[in-house]
Amino acid sequence: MASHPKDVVITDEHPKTLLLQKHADYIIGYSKKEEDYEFTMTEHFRMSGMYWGITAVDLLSQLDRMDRSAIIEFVRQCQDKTSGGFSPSLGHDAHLLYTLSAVQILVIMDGMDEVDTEGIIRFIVGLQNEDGSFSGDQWGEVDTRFSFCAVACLSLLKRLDAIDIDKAVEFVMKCQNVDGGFGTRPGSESHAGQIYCCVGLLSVTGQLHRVNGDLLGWWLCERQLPSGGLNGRPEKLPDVCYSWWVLASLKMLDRLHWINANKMRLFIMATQDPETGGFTDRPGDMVDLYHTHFGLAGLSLLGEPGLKQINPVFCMPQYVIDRISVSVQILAT
Amino acid sequence: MEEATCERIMKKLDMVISQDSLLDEFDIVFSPGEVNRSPVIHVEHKLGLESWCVKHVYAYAYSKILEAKHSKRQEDVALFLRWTQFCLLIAPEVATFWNVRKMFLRQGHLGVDADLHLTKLILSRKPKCMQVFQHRKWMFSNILMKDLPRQANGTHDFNEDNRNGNVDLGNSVYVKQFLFSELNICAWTADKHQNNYHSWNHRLWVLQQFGSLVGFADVCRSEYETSHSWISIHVSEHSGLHYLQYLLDSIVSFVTEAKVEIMEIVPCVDSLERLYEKELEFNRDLIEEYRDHEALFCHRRFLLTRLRDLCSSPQRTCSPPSPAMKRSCVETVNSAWSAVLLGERDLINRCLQTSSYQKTLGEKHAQWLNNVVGI
Repeated sequence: MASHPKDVVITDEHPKTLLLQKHADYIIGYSKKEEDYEFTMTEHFRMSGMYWGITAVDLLSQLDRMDRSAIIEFVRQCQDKTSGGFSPSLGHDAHLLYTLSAVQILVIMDGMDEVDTEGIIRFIVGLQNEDGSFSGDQWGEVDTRFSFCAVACLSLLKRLDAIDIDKAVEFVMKCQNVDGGFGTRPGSESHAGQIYCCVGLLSVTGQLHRVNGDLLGWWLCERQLPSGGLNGRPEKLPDVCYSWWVLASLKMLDRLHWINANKMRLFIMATQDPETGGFTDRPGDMVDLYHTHFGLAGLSLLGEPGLKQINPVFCMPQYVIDRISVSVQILAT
Repeated sequence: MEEATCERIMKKLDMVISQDSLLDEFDIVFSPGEVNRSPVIHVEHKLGLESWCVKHVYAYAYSKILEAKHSKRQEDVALFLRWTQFCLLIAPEVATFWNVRKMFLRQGHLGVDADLHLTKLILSRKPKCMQVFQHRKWMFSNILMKDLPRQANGTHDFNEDNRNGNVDLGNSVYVKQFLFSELNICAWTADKHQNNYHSWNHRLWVLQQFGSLVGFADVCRSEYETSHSWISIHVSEHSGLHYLQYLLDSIVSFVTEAKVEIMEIVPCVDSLERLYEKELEFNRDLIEEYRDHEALFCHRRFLLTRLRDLCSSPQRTCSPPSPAMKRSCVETVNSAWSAVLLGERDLINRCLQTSSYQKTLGEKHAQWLNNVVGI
């Protein structure tokens, strides 16, 4: 096959095996530096950053190295007393994105009792719009990501009955395109990240039969490039975060075997930094928490030895989802 | 760095922004270290900020905003706006800072023009920042549209209309003016950053606003043309092609609902089938002229799916009254579709004869036709 014009090259120089301990140390180290500029510049998504770190460390079986009480205290302080939602960090505004991260952290840490759960439900219910869509916060922006956040939170809290599920599903179905994918709003371009959110919502609500698994599965598989990496839209460069969005969607559609898992694995391995630990978007770039989390999550989905199994819908360790007895739908092929 | 210095830098920056309405670019300019002059550079309507001061001033302004939010004191509005302006120029992803400004916009402490200008400056540095597009959209729906009569009687160019008592017309002119300027913002940001999802998504929203507020036919005609010339020179950008897909769907539903004749929008075309055939020709020419572009093939799949559905829709095949007529109609449509499929076979054969990535794309196209269209 002729080489792909928009791809990267994996060489023998790149890591081939999982540098498990390096990653655990990188994440634990990251959570301890608090004073520098980078810390301020990432404060507006701190809650999600904590969720990425905690999930990744748990997949690496080293969750006990995290300071549980400090984490729960931070999450507790970020709940807005009035709205009931969570902000990404102290002093910031509540949003559905960080409310889901907070709920995910609390479920993993088994600390749901420490916050006002009725407040969370009130916050989410208040953000559903007439057409079934969800706004992310009081300022009204609508996005299928927020639909997923709402439904995933309520499912983890076992309170899906609190919203109009039929309408929520209808709205998501309006965002489907001819190529089988989904975008942010009706008419928006298909995007692997949005597809994960929409397929995830359909899985949580038991409505996966409404997608054409072959058509969407085909589009998702075409995200794989000769290097093994996946992109999120046609003619974009591969990025390790899509190893999660695309693989998890394929898993829910029961078509994970449609991609070349060996090549995918090698691509993810090549994005590790052997010196600092952590994963990058593409081989040779700078590591960060986000790509480290999604790199490990992708490998877990591919069954990498040494990693705990991950749940494809909630992107949380499967044992945690089992502990709270939540089940998700996987499309039957 | 002293607080007074931070405030002074922000004040200088604010002065330049508020006094130069033609200012159209902002960026951080690398400088090795502190020097004994202002880090604010203002040259030919471009604004630069020397890098040495960024960390200090940002950290200061950031903590002042959070402090003021927390204490819930009625802070000096001008200070608050200056802090958020500075932080957003540096880090426009922080929703909390935009929210502060939304609150001031709603309370009337901040004018829309100021934030239309600020967002434009930020887009010059970060053309794919989602929060910036969101803020412009929010201002349109929550401030501009709600204040329309007042705005229309205010400082804008179409006062003539209002003096004649035609407020609606004045409003519609104003809305149109805003939406057209928004299309320019989209064109500008799409050029600045490849496959700019948020810019194209914003353009879809603008098109929807045209449809629901000021009429669709005019903008569709110009967008149809603009879109084709844009695609001709950006063959690898699926976002632009997706926009054309949305535009085509909108045109087709307008024609189907008999709200507009197809020829009013695309003059050289007399039916919807012909529209898709013309699009397929345009797309095929690009595929053959510019090899190796997956985006073009993805677009082709869209066109083929839509044309197939059109050819097989019950409305087309069943509408003639007599069975004989019906059959001939089906046959005509089927023969048109067969011709299209023959064309696909030719295209694929030509792709397979190449040695570049085009060959792989041709193989994938053949597989897709087999899987989805069933040939």
